Amino acid sequence: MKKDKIIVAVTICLICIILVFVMTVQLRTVNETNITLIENMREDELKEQANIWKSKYEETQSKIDEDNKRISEYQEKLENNQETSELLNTELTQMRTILGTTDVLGEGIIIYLQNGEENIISEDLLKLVNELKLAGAEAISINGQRIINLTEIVDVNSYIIINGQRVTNPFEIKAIGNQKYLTSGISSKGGYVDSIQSQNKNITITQEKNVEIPKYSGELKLKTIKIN
Amino acid sequence: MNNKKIGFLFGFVCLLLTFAIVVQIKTVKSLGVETNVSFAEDALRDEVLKWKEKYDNASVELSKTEKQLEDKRKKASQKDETSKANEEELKIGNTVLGLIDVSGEGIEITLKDNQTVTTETATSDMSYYVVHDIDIISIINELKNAGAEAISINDERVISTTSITCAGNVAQVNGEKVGAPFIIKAIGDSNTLYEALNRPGGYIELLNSWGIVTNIQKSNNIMIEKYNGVINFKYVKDAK
Amino acid sequence: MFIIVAIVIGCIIGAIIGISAPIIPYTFSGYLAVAIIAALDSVFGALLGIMKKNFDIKIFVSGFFGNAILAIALTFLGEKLNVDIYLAAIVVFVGRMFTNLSIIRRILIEKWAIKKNEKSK
Repeated sequence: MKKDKIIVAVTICLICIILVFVMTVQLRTVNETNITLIENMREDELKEQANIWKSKYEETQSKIDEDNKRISEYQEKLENNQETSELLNTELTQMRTILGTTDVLGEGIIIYLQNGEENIISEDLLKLVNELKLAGAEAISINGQRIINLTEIVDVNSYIIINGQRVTNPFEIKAIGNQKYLTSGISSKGGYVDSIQSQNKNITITQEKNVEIPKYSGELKLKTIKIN
Repeated sequence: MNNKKIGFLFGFVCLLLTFAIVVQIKTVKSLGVETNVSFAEDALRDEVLKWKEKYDNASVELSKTEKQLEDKRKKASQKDETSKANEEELKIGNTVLGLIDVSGEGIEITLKDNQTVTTETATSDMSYYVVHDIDIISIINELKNAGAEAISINDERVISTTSITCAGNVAQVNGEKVGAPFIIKAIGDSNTLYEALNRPGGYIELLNSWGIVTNIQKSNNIMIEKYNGVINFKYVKDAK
Repeated sequence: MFIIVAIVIGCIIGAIIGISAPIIPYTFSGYLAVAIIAALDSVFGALLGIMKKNFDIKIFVSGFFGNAILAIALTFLGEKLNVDIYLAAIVVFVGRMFTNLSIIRRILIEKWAIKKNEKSK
């Protein structure tokens, strides 16, 4: 009698485990599906999404590989008590290029913006910089002022101030990146060029093989920030 | 009927049935018919989930690897003063770039569309009562002007390549969709930032005049996460 | 008593394993959903069996797995033939769940009514 009861109890226990396990897994799968919003997507969107996640993964993976290579280089140098300053310097130069504290060059476009019947204001420049970034610009300068992450573009009296320096009409904006993307990014129908011209201001764009952009020459002082 | 006849009958029926099933299966397959649309696209959904999972795992691994790299750098820079200075510069540079989690005093701004206006009470085009990309861009600009050292919009870190665009109701920052309300965090001197944004003639004042809800809080501990992507420059080269 | 403990422990263990297991490919998710409905129908059938005191563990276990396998097989066949067979399976299983549930309800209410009668006597 007792034995029977035990068998029954154990069987029921097993069944419960299976049932709850299967339901939990299904719940989590559905949840993941909802998070990625793929339930309602059609074929094209799905293909696009798959490619997006794939390239994000590949980018991250190659950064991991790059970092691992660095780590083993450091490790080797440290173990052999060799000079690590060279490694540090390579990392430093890479960072400076991205940050904007070195002169750079590359293919890109040069945009000339001029007052027309209306004057160029800081908002025009802000919009242009935003559009260029959207089109993949890797380095931007306005009248020789490198636009970095902390750069402001503001109207003060009748002047425009960038990086604390006065910038005046006419404006030469240089951008390094894929020429096609940069040009089409701002020249599309109803895009930046159209809107500037409809405000009676002047704009011309030229593509250049060797755009030279100077470095940011200001200070980089971080006073309040704490690094975790 | 005798057994033989029943047998034949059954055999014949089975033949017909199997034949029909096989023909149907082959037809469906060859036409590539969207049997049930969701089934056909399932393979693609599988792919999306697969790559997302790989990406999520890789992200976690990248964080770990970056920490390891930083440790190695620290060890390497203990050697001499120039190395120490270089390591400092690297850290500051990466912070400005937005690649490191940071915290500090600062302010938090919440932007919400005008909640009360309707098509009848509006005095201008309805789009004036809604938060646009240019509004967010202008506020970020004012923050930078006032000395903000790190900025994030709905937890997307603002970096040198960050663009802000509007697509209908939803905005995109760093290519990621973000929705209202927009919460902008900035680290810097909280008083300076607060006063700069609230000054007469400032952008916040302009937004308020359209009834857009702006809420600015000072804080002693704003936490901003690092940019969760990878910066990959392909066209820029150092000028020698 | 034993059985209730067994059920509770089983559910907890199942949940723990389920949370730490990897998620399954989306294509299988469709089949799994139908199988779960089929299994749930078995569970309700077992509950009814307990109420009517004619619960047979062999029928329960065989039904549990049998229904699930049949549901998966029918869904798969339906996919190949371009007929939404899985819909019919779901209607049947859920229909039976409702029927079993209403019988259980009836039995419980009758029991409660009898108890009330005895108390007032």
